[in-house]
Amino acid sequence: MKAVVYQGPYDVAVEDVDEPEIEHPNDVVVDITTSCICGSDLHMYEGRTAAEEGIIFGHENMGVVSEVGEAVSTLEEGDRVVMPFNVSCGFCQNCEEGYTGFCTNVNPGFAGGAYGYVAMGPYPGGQAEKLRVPYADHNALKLPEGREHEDAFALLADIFPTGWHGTELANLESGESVAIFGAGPVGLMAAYSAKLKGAAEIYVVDQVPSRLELAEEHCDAHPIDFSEGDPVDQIIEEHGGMVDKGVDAVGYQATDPDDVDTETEDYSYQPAKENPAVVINNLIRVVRPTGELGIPGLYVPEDPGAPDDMAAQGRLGIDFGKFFEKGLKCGTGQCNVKEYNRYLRDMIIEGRADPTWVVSHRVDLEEAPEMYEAFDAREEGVTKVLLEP
Amino acid sequence: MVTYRRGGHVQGGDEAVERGCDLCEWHCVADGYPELVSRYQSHLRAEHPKAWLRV
Repeated sequence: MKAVVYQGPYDVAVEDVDEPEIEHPNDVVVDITTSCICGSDLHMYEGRTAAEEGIIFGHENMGVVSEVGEAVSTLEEGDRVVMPFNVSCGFCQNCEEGYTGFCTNVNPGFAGGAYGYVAMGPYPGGQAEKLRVPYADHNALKLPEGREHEDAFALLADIFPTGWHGTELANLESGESVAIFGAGPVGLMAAYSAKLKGAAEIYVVDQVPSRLELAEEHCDAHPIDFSEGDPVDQIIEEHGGMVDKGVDAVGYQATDPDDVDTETEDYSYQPAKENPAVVINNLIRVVRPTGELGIPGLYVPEDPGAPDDMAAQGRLGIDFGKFFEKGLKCGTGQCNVKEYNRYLRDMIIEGRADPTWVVSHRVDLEEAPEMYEAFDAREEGVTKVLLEP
Repeated sequence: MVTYRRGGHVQGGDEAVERGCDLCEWHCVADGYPELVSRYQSHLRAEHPKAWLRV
């Protein structure tokens, strides 16, 4: 079958690979109908992880069940499903407590598993024609048959729940104000979630005009372009003070506003311009005393491409004194997709939510290399790319 | 006649089991729970697709 295979930094190719098979009675095999390119894939794509050549990318997957293991109870051939990017067992302590992003069984020695991701276990990704799904009764969310809501349901694998998770980590409540740093797909979904939850004021910080326009148009957010000045000062001036809650949807590959070249329109990330702590420190500044920060943006314990030695070890210069002084609280970590995905699915089915405005491209799997290049360059208009085998 | 369509005690794993559907008159007698669960899922999938999404 065809699959998107990592070749090394800034290089993926569509290659012929072996088809997945049932390896355990709890498995199913899914014929992929949609698989998305995620910002997290770019960390591997850019050589900013320990990813080795040969990994099949793709942790945002949906499709139709084509083979069913003998021990699977609730699925049969032909069922349409979407898989959380987390691979989890459903019966370890973390899974039982709802933390399926931190399953201790699927990737022994580590808390958490995922499809097609470095260090997240032996689970090939779904940017391919087929995908094996372990513990399938647990890991496949049922969907209505047919093709309706295909784009929206594909976003249930990761970015819609992850955006929602950002607002949950910050305990965002109706009527509160929130600052969301990053208008990539997750930041936009966090802003959309804030809107759905009834936030009073939403500020979205980025430097890419088209992304800020999406936040303004679809999330009723105030766009804050950090290339035009200190984003914290801009928010405080516009809001009339600090905001109640903050979300970091950027992570460790954060661009330092002080290093943005406003003379050009080159938005690509460059390690020399990075400051991995800048977003967290901005959140500490912009959230009011006793407020809360949600950090779904990715931070890593080792970064081979870090701008300095400390960052290479995952150590950041965080203004903890100010954090303590303000009595702030903070939630971190990858999204436990199963905590939200069925509810968000039902909001989509009932027309209460439609996150498809974030999708910019649906292309054939064969076009993945070009789309990785465009997405990585943060080309204008390339926000979310869906691949169709 | 005693029926167990709403949950009755089963003595052993090889005993026939019987359960009904909350949403209609469908019921099923099977040789064991794995078969019962599978047939219940099939019934919901075919007759109550919205309920099937949630179980």
